[in-house]
Formats: sequence, C-alpha cells, structure tokens
Amino acid sequence: MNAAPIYLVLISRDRRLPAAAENLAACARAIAALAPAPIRALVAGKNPAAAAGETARHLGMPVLALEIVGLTDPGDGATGISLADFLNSEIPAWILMEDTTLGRRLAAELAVRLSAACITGVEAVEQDDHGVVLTRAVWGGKFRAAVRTAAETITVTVADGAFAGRFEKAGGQAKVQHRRSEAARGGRRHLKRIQAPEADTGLSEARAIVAAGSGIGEPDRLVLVRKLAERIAGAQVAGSRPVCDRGWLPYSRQVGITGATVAPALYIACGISGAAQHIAGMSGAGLVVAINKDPRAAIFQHADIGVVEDLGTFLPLLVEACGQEEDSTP
Amino acid sequence: MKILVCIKQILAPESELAPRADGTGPAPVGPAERRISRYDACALEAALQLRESVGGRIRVATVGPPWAAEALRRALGMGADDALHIIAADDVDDPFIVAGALAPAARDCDLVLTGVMSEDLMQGTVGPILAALLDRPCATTAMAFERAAGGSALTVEEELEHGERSIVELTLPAVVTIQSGPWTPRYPSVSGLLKARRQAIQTLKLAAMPIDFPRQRIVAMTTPPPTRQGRMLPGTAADKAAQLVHLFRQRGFLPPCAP
Ligand SMILES: Cc1cc2nc3c(=O)[nH]c(=O)nc-3n(C[C@H](O)[C@H](O)[C@H](O)COP(=O)(O)OP(=O)(O)OC[C@H]3O[C@@H](n4cnc5c(N)ncnc54)[C@H](O)[C@@H]3O)c2cc1C
Ligand SMILES: Nc1ncnc2c1ncn2[C@@H]1O[C@H](COP(=O)(O)O)[C@@H](O)[C@H]1O
Repeated sequence: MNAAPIYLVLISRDRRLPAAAENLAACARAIAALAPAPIRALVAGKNPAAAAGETARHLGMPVLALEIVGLTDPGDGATGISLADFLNSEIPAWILMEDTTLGRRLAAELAVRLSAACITGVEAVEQDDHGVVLTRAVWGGKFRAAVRTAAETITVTVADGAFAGRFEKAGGQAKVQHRRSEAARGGRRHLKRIQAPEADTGLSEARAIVAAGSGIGEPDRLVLVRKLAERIAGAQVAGSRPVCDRGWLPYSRQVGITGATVAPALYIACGISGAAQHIAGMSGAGLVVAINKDPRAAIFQHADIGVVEDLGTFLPLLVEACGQEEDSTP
Repeated sequence: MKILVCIKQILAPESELAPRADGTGPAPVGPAERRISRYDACALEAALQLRESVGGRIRVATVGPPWAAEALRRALGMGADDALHIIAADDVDDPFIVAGALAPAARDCDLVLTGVMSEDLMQGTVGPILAALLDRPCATTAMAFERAAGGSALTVEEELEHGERSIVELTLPAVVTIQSGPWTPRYPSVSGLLKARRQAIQTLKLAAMPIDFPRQRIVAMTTPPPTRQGRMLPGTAADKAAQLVHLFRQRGFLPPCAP
C-alpha cells in the first residue's frame, strides 16, 4: 500500500506519554478505516527521547523522536518551523494534533507551510457519498458542521476525548528513531511559564453545584442562584467563563476547560448554552439539570432533565418550591 | 503603531436558530440577531487601550456580506479610526479565504489582532493562518500584552489549558489572538455613532481579490447527538418547579418532607 500516511504529531513537554496520544491514535484509526493509509507517529520537543519511548510502547508502533535543538519551550517559534521542515518531505495525507492553544496554532501554521487544509476541534470522522468528512462543533455547540476538503494534506486538531474509549494498541514494534532539527527560532520566543493557581477545593468536592451562565443577565440574579444553592444540601455556586470574565464570580468558581473540572452528584446549569469548553468541565456530573429559555440550546443535549423557562420567572418559583413542604398528592 | 483588528458580524449563537433545510447553516427562527463576535469586540477594546497608551491608528476590517458593514459602523462608533469591508456574496467559511482576503490590509500594520475564535465557526485558525501567510510571529489566547521597551517587540501572556499561562515575546510586526478575559468592550458613544454613520468605509470585492484556491467548506450542518437523555419537563413553570423539587427530594438533595 502506497497511500500517503496519517501522522500523529505529539508534543513532548516532559518524559511522559503525551496526554493526547490515545485520542489521536484512535482518531487515526477511524480515518484509516474509511481511507486506508499507514499510521505513523512523531514526538517533537527539546528532549523527546523518553516521551517517544513511552509513546512507542503505549501505542505499539514505531515512533520518530524529533529533537528540536535549542528549544526553551514547545511553544517557541522553532517548533512549527522544525515540524514543517520534516513533514514537507513526508507528504502526509493527514496530520493529527492535540486540540489545545498550542495545537491549534501549530496546525494552522503547518497548513500554510504545507499548503494543507486545516480543521480544528474535530469530534468525529464520517463518510458521505463523496468521501471522508470531519465534523466539528459550531455556534457554541448548537450545531455540528461536516467539513470537506479536496486538499492533499489536512492538518487536524482532535477534540479532547472525542475518541475516548476507542483506542486499541497496535501490534508493531516499539522502536524509536531519532532525528535532530536545528531550525531557526523565528520571531516568537518563550520567556516563562506560569503554573495554574490552586484549584478551589470547594467546587471539586461539592456534592451539588448550581452554575450560573450569561443567561442570568444581571449580577443581581446571582442572589437567586445563591438562594437555590443554600436550599440544596451541600451545594456550591459556580459559573461559566463569561460570568467570571464580567467579575460576577471569581475565576476560582469557573467550570470548564480553562477552569475547574467538577463531578458533583447534581449539576444545575442556569442560563448556560452548553459550549464544549464548558461541558468538558462538568461532563462527569451525576444528574444534570438545565434551565434555559432557548429550547434548542446545546446544553439540553448534555442534560438529564431539561427546563425551558426564563430564569427571571423560573428561579424565584424554584427557590420558593424548594423551601416548601412537598404536596403529598401524587 | 498601526493596528488592524479583524472583526466578524455573526448570527448570535444565543438566539433561537434552526438548521436550514439544505443543511448549509443555521437560520434564525425569529428576526435575525446579529452582532460582533464577542472575542473580536474584546480585540477591538484591547486595541483601543493600546492606542491610548502608545498612540497610533486602528483600522478594522471584515470579510462578509453587505450586512456585515454593521459591525464596522459599531467599531467606528467605539473609536476605530477607519474601516475596510471586503464584500462577499455569502458567509465565507474557509479560513484560508478569509485570511487571504485580510492579508493585504494586514501587511502594512505593526500589529494584527483577531479574536481567539469566531463564536459561530469556532475555528481559532484565521489569526494563526494570517500570521503564517505573512510570515509573522503569532501568539494566541492572549490575556494581556504590552509593548516591550524599545518598541520593537510585544510581550504577551497566553492562556494555556487548565489555568496554566505562558509569557512569550513576539518581534513586531506580529499577530495576536485575543481571549475574552480582561477586556470589557466599551459601548459606542452617541457622538461616536453619529460620526461613524457619516464616515466612509473602504470597500473591496472578495471575488476580485487574487486568493489561493479554496481549501475546505462546510457541506452539512446537523444538530449534535445528545450525550444524555434530556427529558424535558412538561407543564407550567410552577409544575416544572414542583417536579424538580420532587426529584431533588427523591435523590436526597433536599431534606425529606416532614411526616
Ligand atoms: C480557549 C477557550 C477556553 C474557554 N474556556 C471556558 C471555560 O473554561 N468555561 C466556560 O464556561 N467557557 C469557556 N469558554 C467559552 C465558551 O466557548 C462559551 O463562550 C461559554 O461557555 C458560554 O458561556 P454561557 O453559556 O454562560 O453564555 P452564552 O453562550 O452566552 O449562553 C447563554 C445562555 O443563556 C440562555 N439565556 C439567556 N437569557 C436567559 C433567560 N432569561 N432565562 C433562561 N436562559 C437564558 C441563552 O439561551 C443561552 O443559551 C472558552 C472559550 C475559549 C475560546
Ligand atoms: N469573516 C471574517 N472577517 C473578519 N475577521 C474574521 C472573519 N472570520 C474570522 N475572523 C477573525 O478571525 C478570528 C478567528 O476566527 P475563526 O478562525 O473562524 O475562529 C475571529 O475572532 C476574527 O477576529
């Protein structure tokens, strides 16, 4: 078989298996099932040997360790230049990368340098009458778009966890090949990294969370959200990113990909649209209740119980009802 | 400092939208609610604050159908100096065409700002593609930035995943994509809006621009499959509240009722 390969491009930050490895490998398999192609893996970084070894063992396939000489951080400008230099001679059909701040930037840069298409945040690989299409969330998760391209090379970032549970180890040899790149640094220089602040343990340990989204409309309505939380056993108040951006709640209370990951037994989403970046932080919750005035809001796709109501009228009713004795008529 | 801010007028995701029959995109259920994509408004705010501290000129540009001019008027009302409308026949969903169309205007600017992603297409690629087309350094998901001493570089604080950040230095000219965090877009003043209404907007036709081949397009739009059962509660608002309370009691989230 001489088809152009599918490349998993992993970035090594330390000696460990890059976090995206399984997800990318499972996505590559899904593509290869529709458009047969050999799958190859590359781990790039300042000192990628150990991570490449881990990757080769874990995925059960040979891995190329691409050492980028003089790199201070994977975020340096040299990473994209080195990857492009190497991949240019390989002419891959697909280049799969992690869907992170760095992954998206590199995927776009590589697409320009390799005259490729670039599709980010891919959640599924599907087929229609004309071939492979990649689907991704649009309009805050309300819809999914199927994207097609005729380009010979396509750079892709694979949504975190999109292919979770579909990983299978290959049966190949865990060999590591080494390559050095002495690319120029480019005009982007990494200065330093700032570690994440301590997570708010109140949220991660809460038994129930009442979360406020932009739909609460005004900070005064937070009072109702707080009242609801007071009535519910063990409940804490959290918010979506826009609510924290506006300063209505502190950032330590933000749930989502750039905030806290929570798994309470009960999650009540009030006026939250259901964007993937938010869902990623609460998909492990037990019972999810969504209250939203838009019956087509994406949050209802990720909720066990949906309530289509305006918060302005519904929250006072709910707070009131929570404080009352239950009516014993069935 | 010459700054270009790329802004997009979008069909608001929080408004009621339904998939179009031909699957090409969403259509508003009621009257179309259009506005500037939130991150782009933040990018413009960031540019306005930078101009206040170091001086310079701000140009705003959009690629889109005639109705997209509304975004430019608002941006002028907020304080942008001039505006460029690259008129397209329809929405453009190929980021290479958008970036290719913006590139000539970006070429003579010291700094190009875009949103971290558009709220409708959510690609996060137009900014970095533009940077690569122009061969300029790029920082994404910026939470803060500052012109470095000497003025030939920009220091940018980027947001990474799970609260981690990194500080990078870009040699100017450069491209930066803006995260929503610290920038609250100002409201246009009445006098600003009046002035904006009279101000000329430069226009170009997308079809007449020499742009690389189209690379990708959306061929179908569907509603995502549910990850949970999503039972919708029936009845009046009071009925729904009562059902929730009943459920909460059953599951022990509310104290059981007194006998
Ligand atoms: C790199 C990156 C990282 C991100 N990280 C995060 C993150 O960690 N956490 C996060 O939450 N977001 C994050 N986001 C933002 C995310 O993409 C969404 O923009 C955000 O989650 C939307 O917040 P929201 O649902 O509160 O607001 P919106 O999307 O504006 O939704 C508001 C909802 O409220 C409803 N509503 C409005 N009025 C009412 C009313 N009166 N009654 C009932 N319902 C009403 C609307 O129908 C709508 O569905 C990130 C984005 C990027 C680009
Ligand atoms: N049609 C457009 N016109 C002007 N700027 C755009 C357009 N589309 C995208 N952008 C800019 O590119 C950013 C990222 O968009 P996207 O890559 O579609 O997520 C947006 O936040 C805008 O700043």
